Amino acid sequence: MWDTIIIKPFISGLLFIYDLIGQNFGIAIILFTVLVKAVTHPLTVKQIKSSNALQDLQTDKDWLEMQKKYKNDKDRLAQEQMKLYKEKGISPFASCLPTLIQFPIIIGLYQSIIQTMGNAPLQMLNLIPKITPLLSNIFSFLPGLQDPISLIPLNNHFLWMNLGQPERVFIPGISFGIPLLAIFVVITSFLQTKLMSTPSADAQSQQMTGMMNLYMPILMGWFAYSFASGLALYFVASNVITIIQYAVLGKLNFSNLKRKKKVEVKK
Amino acid sequence: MNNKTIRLIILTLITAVVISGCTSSSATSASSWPGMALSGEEGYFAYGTQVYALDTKNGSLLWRFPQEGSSSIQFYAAPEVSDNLVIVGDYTSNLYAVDRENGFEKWQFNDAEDRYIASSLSYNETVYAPNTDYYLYALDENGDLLWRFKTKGPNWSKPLADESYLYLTSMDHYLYALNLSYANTDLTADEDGNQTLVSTPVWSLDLESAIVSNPVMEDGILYVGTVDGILYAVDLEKQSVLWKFTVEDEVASIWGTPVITSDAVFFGDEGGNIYAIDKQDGNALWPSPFAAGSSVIASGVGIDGKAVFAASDGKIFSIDASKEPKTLTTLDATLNAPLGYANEKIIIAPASSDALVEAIDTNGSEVWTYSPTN
Repeated sequence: MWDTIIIKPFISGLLFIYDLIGQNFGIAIILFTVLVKAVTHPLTVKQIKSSNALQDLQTDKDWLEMQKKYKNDKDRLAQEQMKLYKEKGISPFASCLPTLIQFPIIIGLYQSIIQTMGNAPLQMLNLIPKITPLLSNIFSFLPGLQDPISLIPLNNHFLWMNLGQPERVFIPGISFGIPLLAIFVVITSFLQTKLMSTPSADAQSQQMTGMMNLYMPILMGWFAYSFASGLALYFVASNVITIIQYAVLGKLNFSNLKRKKKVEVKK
Repeated sequence: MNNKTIRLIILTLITAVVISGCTSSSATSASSWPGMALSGEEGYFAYGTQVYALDTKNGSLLWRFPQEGSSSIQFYAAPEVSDNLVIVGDYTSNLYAVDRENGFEKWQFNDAEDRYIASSLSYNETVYAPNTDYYLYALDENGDLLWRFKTKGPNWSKPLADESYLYLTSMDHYLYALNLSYANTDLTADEDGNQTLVSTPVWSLDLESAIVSNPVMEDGILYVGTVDGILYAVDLEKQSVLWKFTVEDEVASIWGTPVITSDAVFFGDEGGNIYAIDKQDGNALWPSPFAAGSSVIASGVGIDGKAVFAASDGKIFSIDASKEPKTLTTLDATLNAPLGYANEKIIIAPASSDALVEAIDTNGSEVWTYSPTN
């Protein structure tokens, strides 16, 4: 089911782009990521709007009064909150729904990139049944398109990288390889989380966001360091495109990059 | 630590597990089924961190290489056996030659840049080692590079040789014929200035799709299947396709080496069908293929005029040109590794929790099993 609805069409799309642009898998990954982000852009906009509305509500006078008034009665507080949501025309789930819809798409994109890079027998065995000539049949009028199965093996070389292997740059005089792409992943992940996080008045939330800004880039960097560089390329492309997406919408918080005074957490 | 911090750490760990789970099967671990080579009384099995030498009479362990396995070295390519050596490549980029008697390392070749998926060929005191870095390396019996030839794609197939030429089928869709040896003056300089490169093959033939299986040769005809489900018979002397047969399945890739009997060429495909083809004209002997029940990935073996195959669901069966199938046994394992035949036993490498290697007689009764112990 998952393979039929998500993975097969995604692999078809990736291979179609790969064929169309002259069989460069690195550029195919970047373009396919752009395409998926573009298709899911309306959902992203909706999600941002909804979460901003929720964010604004946190500073609303009625909201704050309600928190104070019913702080010892959780049930009543929940009821009053729902009432306020209704009055203001805000749906608390509106910011979750686009994320829920996007989530399988992102996971599918991620899995299809990994599977298409199959460079060992078991992986290739897994990939071949998922290759369908769907798109090449639809666009058969385009000159030079090949039957997708004949595209195997994919050209995994992109710039200095073998996309099927973890990436390292070897510099004369240094005995170990430098994981340049993993460093890019850390930098772009840090920028993404930092620029996209909204300022919070709550000190604990602020602390939590700060930790998230630190942990996530390190985690993503570790994956990029350990796994095939095609995946790391996807991480970088995805991060950069997301930053551009938010910049276009005017939702980047450059003030987050400035050093701030530590906020004391009330115990 | 407050609750939110703990929740954040848990969230981070969950993210790590999810991403690892999505990637571990493909982006990180390079996995395959066991590689097998039988020679004389011995069988050699490459799987995971070690290569195992077994006595095929009773399944006893003769030696293993390396003595202590390390997760950084993974073996899946089938070993190649010469008079004195067992040659096996790993999934990093190293080719090892070990003493056939005791499993002690004799030499290593480390010039390749990618993994060894294909078995090497040892022929006339030369080792021909295809690698996924697009090169075929020709080494002398001490592991020193004699020459190398670059294809346009990874090489997953074991080369074949006759008295004149070496034949290499590649994932780049081509069959190449190369000389068995080259004089220094025939070679061109590589990027380091060393005179090691064979610039052009003797001849080549475009088979239009990637080849991941090992070819087989009989009477000057080379038989090989492709990932788009075409079995080719190539006349090596005429350097042309004698005939080709296209399978009917939706998932049609051919992974196993065809089995040649006096009557026919038998092969299976990923769609789970077995075909019997007339060797002379390439026509199917049966009006419809035999449905094995699940994918046929493993190479079969020819025994007493019959072809014996393993379906990936664990069924092992024989079939003859008159389409008379006989199920020998069904193992509780996924069978993708090639079958072997030695000492009147069918050797199987199920790599299941029960056994790495199992031997059955031609009636399907278990003779012995081998499971590695620490």
